[in-house]
Amino acid sequence: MELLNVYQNNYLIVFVFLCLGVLLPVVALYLGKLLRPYKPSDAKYTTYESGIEPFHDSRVQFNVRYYIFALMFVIFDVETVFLYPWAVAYDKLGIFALVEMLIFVAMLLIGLVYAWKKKVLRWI
Amino acid sequence: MIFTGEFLAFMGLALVAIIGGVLLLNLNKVIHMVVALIFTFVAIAGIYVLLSAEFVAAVQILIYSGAITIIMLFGIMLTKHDDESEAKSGKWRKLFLFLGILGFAFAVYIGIYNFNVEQVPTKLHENNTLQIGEALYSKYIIPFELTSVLLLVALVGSIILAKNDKKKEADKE
Amino acid sequence: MDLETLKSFEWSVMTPEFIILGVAALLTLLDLFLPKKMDRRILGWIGIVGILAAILSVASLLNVESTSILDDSFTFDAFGKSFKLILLVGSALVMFLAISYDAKEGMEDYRGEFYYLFLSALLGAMIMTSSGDLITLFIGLELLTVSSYILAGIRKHNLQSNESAMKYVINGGISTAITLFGMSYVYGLTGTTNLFEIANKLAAVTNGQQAYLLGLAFLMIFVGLSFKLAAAPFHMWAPDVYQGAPTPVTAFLSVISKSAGFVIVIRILISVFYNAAPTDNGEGILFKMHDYLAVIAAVTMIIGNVVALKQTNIKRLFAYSSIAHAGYILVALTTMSSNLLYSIWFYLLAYMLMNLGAFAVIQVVTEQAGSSKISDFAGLARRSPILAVLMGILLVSLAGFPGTAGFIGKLNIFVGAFYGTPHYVLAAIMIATTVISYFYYFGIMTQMFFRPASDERKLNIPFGIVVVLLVAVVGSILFGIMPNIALDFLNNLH
Repeated sequence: MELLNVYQNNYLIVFVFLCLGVLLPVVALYLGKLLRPYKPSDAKYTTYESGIEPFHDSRVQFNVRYYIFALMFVIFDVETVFLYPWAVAYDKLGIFALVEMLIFVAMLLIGLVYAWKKKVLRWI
Repeated sequence: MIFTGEFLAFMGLALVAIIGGVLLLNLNKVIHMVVALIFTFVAIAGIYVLLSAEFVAAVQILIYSGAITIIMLFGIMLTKHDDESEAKSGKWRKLFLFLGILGFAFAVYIGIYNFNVEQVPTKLHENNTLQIGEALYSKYIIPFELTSVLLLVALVGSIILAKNDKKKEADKE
Repeated sequence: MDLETLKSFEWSVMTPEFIILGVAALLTLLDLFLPKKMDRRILGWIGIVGILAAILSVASLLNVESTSILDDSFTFDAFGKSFKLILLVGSALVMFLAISYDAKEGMEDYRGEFYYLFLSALLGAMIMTSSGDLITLFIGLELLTVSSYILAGIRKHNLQSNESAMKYVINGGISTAITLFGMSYVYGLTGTTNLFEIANKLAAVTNGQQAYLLGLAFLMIFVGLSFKLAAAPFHMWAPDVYQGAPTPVTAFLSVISKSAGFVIVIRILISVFYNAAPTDNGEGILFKMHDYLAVIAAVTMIIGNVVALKQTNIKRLFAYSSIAHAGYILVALTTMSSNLLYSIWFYLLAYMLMNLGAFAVIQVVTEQAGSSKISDFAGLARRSPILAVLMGILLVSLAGFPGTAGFIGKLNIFVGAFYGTPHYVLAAIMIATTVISYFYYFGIMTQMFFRPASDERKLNIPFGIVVVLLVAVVGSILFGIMPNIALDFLNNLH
């Protein structure tokens, strides 16, 4: 039997770590700014490109292929989320839960086969 | 009104969530927007924790702060960033929109301020994931299986719409 | 829950859903493994066979008593049976349209997907007709909408199609969010997602503040779902989406998607809010929100019919016409008469028949002309007299002339408006806007019969279109002359 306040107090540690995580880069960068000298000139602002005069924008438009990978990542991520409580509660659920999950995975497998046959999984 | 620790935590999280949302709309650089969005997502996860929904909080971090943010970053990389932004809509429209939002907020506020919710003791924080699993895979089988169809449709649809069909371009690379 | 309890449920009542799901999965796999050169229309035929099998299984289940599975997350009742039949027949007709559809651009690689996305959308709609649980209803709604987003944008290299998909996604996403927000209030106030339990709990609500919050929840749910119905003032997306989407998808959106929208509105609003937080004389929230519904119905009828007058594009015109029809059905919802279910069911049936028939003709004509202007219909009577006459009958039915199903549908709603407390204003607006609708329906008629054709080529009518037109015209006339068939059918359901 866990008490509610014990549960909530556990998260104080998470909160402390979260604050540390946010503060660390902020403080580090700010300290750096305080300590370093600040004497800008035009030449310093140019992008370093192995001695060649920089041209064009540094960012380029990515290929849509990356995006499809990201989309598929999200979808299978969601699937994993469903697997997790299933695995935890499996002992109490019995054999039917296995059948349910098999159907679920089979549907997603069709999706994977689809992506495979449509050749979006190929990198080149 | 009593200032309990829970209340303070909720206020802090809610503020971060809302400020993150507002910044998302008002910042000019897309990367900054994504960072603001992450703050909103994490704050919402914190609210879930306060509500004893540990598993949902973990999922929120995993899916939203993780996967959705990555998708948004990839989406940003796909954009043409040399495009000029178009002129914003007129002042009057903004004013009306603002008044509308204010009206809605007011209507909701009237409803919920001093609203007495019966405190029901919950056992949600004990083995939260187990409880979700038991409910999901016994009582809610039908919506669960439908979700798999929904995910399949989303997968097929995203491939249809995002796939690069132009054969010549595909050969070139 | 052990295996025995699960086995004890009557899973056989879900057969129609299982059939549709199975066929959709089968089509996906077939599409992937059939040789590339093969014509994908075969998948469409398999889809039609699947839908017909589902219709048969619903028909064989008609006499089964109302049953529910797993705490009402699936309920098989008269309501579900009757609306499921409309959705299934409508989808079968849409599939016939899709088989005959020959897109000019951007569809080459995605013919197969076209068919199974239709089926998954249909599955979502069917779940919406027979679920007593908010979560299941919502997933059904999402399945329907997500599939329709993709269908609207499936002509990838067509700018209008892209625009329509984009508009649909944004509008649909916002509306879903609003609905979900409203549902969350209902859940928060009752602590359950089961519609019947919710109704029981809400009937005991006496606290004024809770009633206020419920009213807010009602408004949010209704506003969100109004997007789905394309009711004014949330109709803005409809003309653009209808214009840009491929014609079978437009037909699908205007008939199946709209019917499913009405189904979920009736399910949620009637079962949850009808008795919620009753006042002393026993009137629930639905009655308090009655004026709001009336205004929406009136505005929808007026905007739909008046703006339709100015359209030059046939698909936009039908978008506004479908908005107007949603307005008529909302009148039935507003008046809450005792024959509410029958009048909405009959209207949706009639609307399904006449609208799908009209879209069949539109598909033939626009495909031949390569554009979708109303003037493309000029001289249709010369080019294909039969097609012109059939379209004439369907237009007469859409306008609501005696002897057609459209007339009976409107008559039911009109009569219903005088049950209980009479709604004179709504009834008057309904008559007036119906008269306005004559102008644009007969505008198409004059184009077809009295204008010279700019293009004298004969039209070739594919087999699928013939089937749709036959069913539509025969149905429109049959239910127009003998509406008792439908009434008896509905009364015998239990």
